[in-house]
Amino acid sequence: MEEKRGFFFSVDALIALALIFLVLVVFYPIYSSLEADSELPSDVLTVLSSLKVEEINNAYVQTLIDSGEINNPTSSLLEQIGEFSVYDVDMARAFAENMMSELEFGNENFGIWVGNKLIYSKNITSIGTAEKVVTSRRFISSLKQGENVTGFAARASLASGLRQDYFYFGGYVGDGNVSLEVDYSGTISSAELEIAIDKDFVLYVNTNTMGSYEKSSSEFTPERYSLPVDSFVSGANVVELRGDDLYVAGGFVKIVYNSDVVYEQPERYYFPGIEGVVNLYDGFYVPGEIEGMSISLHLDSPEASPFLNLGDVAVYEGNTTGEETITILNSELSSLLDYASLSRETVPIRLGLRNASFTGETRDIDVFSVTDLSGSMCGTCSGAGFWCCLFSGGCNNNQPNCESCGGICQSMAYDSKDANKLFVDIILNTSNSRIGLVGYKEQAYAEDYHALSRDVVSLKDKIDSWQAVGATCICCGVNSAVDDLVSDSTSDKFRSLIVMSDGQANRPCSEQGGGSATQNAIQSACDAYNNHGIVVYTIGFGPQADEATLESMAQCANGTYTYSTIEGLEQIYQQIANEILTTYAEQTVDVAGGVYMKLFPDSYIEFDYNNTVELYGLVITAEEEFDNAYSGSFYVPSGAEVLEVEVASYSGPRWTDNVKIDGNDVYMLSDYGSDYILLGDPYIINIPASLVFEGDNFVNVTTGTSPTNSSAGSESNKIIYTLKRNASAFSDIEPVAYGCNWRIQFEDDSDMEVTIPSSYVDGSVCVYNETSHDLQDWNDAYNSAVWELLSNLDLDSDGKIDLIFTEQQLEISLSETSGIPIVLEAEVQARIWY
Amino acid sequence: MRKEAQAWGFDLIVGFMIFTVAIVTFYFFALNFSGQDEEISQELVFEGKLIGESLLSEGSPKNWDPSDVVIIGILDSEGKINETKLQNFLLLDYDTTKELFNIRHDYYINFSKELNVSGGVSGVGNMDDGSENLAVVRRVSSYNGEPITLSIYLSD
Repeated sequence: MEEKRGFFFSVDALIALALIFLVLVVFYPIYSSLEADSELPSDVLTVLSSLKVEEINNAYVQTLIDSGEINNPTSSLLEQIGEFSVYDVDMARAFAENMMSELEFGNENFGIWVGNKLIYSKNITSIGTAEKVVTSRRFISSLKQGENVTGFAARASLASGLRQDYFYFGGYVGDGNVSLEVDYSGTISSAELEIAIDKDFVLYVNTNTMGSYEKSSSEFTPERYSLPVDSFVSGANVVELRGDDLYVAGGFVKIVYNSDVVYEQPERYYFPGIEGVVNLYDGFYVPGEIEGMSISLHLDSPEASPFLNLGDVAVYEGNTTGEETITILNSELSSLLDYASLSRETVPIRLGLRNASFTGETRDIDVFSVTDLSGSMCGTCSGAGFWCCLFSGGCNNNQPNCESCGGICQSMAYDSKDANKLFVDIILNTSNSRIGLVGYKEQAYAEDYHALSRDVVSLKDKIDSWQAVGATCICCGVNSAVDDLVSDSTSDKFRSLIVMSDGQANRPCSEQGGGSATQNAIQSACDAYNNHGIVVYTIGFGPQADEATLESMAQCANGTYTYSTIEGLEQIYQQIANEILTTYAEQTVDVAGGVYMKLFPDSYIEFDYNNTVELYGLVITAEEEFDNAYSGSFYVPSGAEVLEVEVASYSGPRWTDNVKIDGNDVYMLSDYGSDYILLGDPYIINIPASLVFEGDNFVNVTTGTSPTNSSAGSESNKIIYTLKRNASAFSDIEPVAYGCNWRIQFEDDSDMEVTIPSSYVDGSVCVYNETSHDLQDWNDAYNSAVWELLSNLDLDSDGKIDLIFTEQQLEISLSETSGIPIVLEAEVQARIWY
Repeated sequence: MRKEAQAWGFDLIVGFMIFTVAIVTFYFFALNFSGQDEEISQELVFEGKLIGESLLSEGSPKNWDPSDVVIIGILDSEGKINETKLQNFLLLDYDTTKELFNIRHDYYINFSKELNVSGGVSGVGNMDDGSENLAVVRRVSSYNGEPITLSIYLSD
């Protein structure tokens, strides 16, 4: 019994202790909240600023003056602390300790920092654990002068020969083995290949194999590969892609190298090499007034007669008896071409076969029309009986109720039927083409479905039976149509979907993993294309359409997205029907029986024009990817001279038809004609420097297959711009020159750690990256110069250096000066913390 | 069995009493402090700041003396403690200084270094040793070429 009682007492005591502890925990914050804001930091800085060194009646200070450690006694105590902190931190700490020795801080924690150096502290707890910090700041700037004053000026620069060049494939280069000439003079340090290509290929550099590479995920989305540089040599190199009837839908080889050759504006356009059926769509740009031109075509084409169009003008057509170099002189070209109209314009180049049939012109089509039958297609019901609607459960957004009560839906419900019927007529107008129908609500119901068929009456009856009611499951409609195309069609037919919606997807699909209905809709389109090669065209119908989702669906599935007003839907269906019937014939050539042709990559067009660019300075080329399939932007920092701005357009088998900068047209393909198959398709569209301004510049790109058909480009489009900046950066004359261990981030997110100068051995770390700019000490000449240089190389001020360089390419030098006044600057902070 | 029941009952009573004491203690501190004591403490701190602001100024008029003082300030135009003004401050009656500072609680100002006036002074004011609440506000100024701390104590 006694034992049990003792046990109970112990438990009671524990409970009581717990309660007391609880009280203390609650009480403490109440007590601690009573800490008052203090004027101490401000007072201390005021006093240190107002007291001059010469006023201090103190043996220690007198010793410093006598020994010359303090050479300007009229400085304030704060300036003297700042000066000591630059040259000798220990001295600064000792001086501050002496000056503050008479001060009392009670239980308060107090500290003084100069820059990020702690000079003085009197504390009980660490500032790292502080709940509250009160800070006062002063910026000190003093002049250190006298004959014995020594200062340092540093210069940071990049090796002036550091260059990066791009060598472009055309907008469409095929069909066969494709090659590109890469000509440089110097020592190469890196090479990259970015390419949109239809098949896997083997890469050769100067006939040395570099291995096998995979095709790009689509014609609009390039792959990027790093290339070994061992096989590159100074001079002309041939990069060759070999495979089975390849075509390249845009891309480039980018090299970084050291060279004594300064930046040059191009004087030649080089044709890519093609071995197979020469089928080239590209463009050229002359950045000045053309005074003369000549063409050298190194061609082997005994079996076929290719034509060469510059703009819409044919300048050559004929075959060769074997390998020949055909020269077209200026005297001939000047009579054919209006040089003025070609100057400072991107001019399409087309080299190919006029009488070739383009792939699939007679190919059959299987297409599904996937139509939104959700309640919103009916919308507001008008003319229906009030009581009928009330007792039938409502007529708005419900076509069956609306019509059974004598009303009619808004016109969307009927317009979409008319558009579908027109679509049926157009598609079935070509032999062997078939069309199927899927209507989707919260599901894709069997009652709204019609299998692939050529039965016009049956198809139109199904369309007439559609009733708009319920929710929106876009992925249900896509999945249903894909299932039928996969089971009832074959991949030798052109298989596609036309998906129309007037609203936002709000029902997910288990096939796409469930979750977000809009993401499922996008994924269903991606799956259709990636798994089965089914192209998805999308139409946003009416003001509530979820354009972003529909655009993403089309982008992922190699189709196009088009917005339609209620009145314009029939026209949109007609356009897409025409596009389906014709677009697969786009740029890919198909020659019956096959022919052998070879265009050598040393073929060129040479321009004679006034080259006015100042050649000296650090030339930096940077890339900015587009923000979306329509537009992108790039930033020109102040003080930079714009040398070149190029828009790389991954238009796939379509034509880049329009490019704008800040709303101004810089390229309009229809200016050169309406039959695009005869026109070139530039991969690179140049923007004249006169249209580029400091700050943000916005670029838009669209693609098309005819002047009446235009849609988005590729999200992989990029702006490649070349600026000239100062190659060197100088510091002011600073009191010290120690250095730092730099951590630098580049635009491709690679990092470099470099000690500058290489003789620096201390542990300070300076950072220049997207999250931190930490210079450690502005009074350090080395650090200031490197900082200035890095800022120059960060074109878009995103904290990443746009020009990738190596430690060996960074040059740093230092000069020492005496007798020149030096400005010392620093921020002093006094803090108390609780 | 009977004794066991008694033990349970006794433990329950003791536990309840401890719990009650703890609750009462909690309410005593929490409510009493956060109410009256907190208010007093804040007032003391506020008055300490008033004294600090007044003293670390030139005062009014700028060359004031005990006969015409409106604001007691002991600094010169360079922000350093002026011995004449400090001397005049010491000459003022304690209650007068409280009126001029516009405070109602007792104060005492301690200098971190003895000042060379009136034969040496290290503090001024009146402090009640039995006061329940005490607040301190610290300010820094310079005297005779050295930084010094003025610790201003307020008590009720």
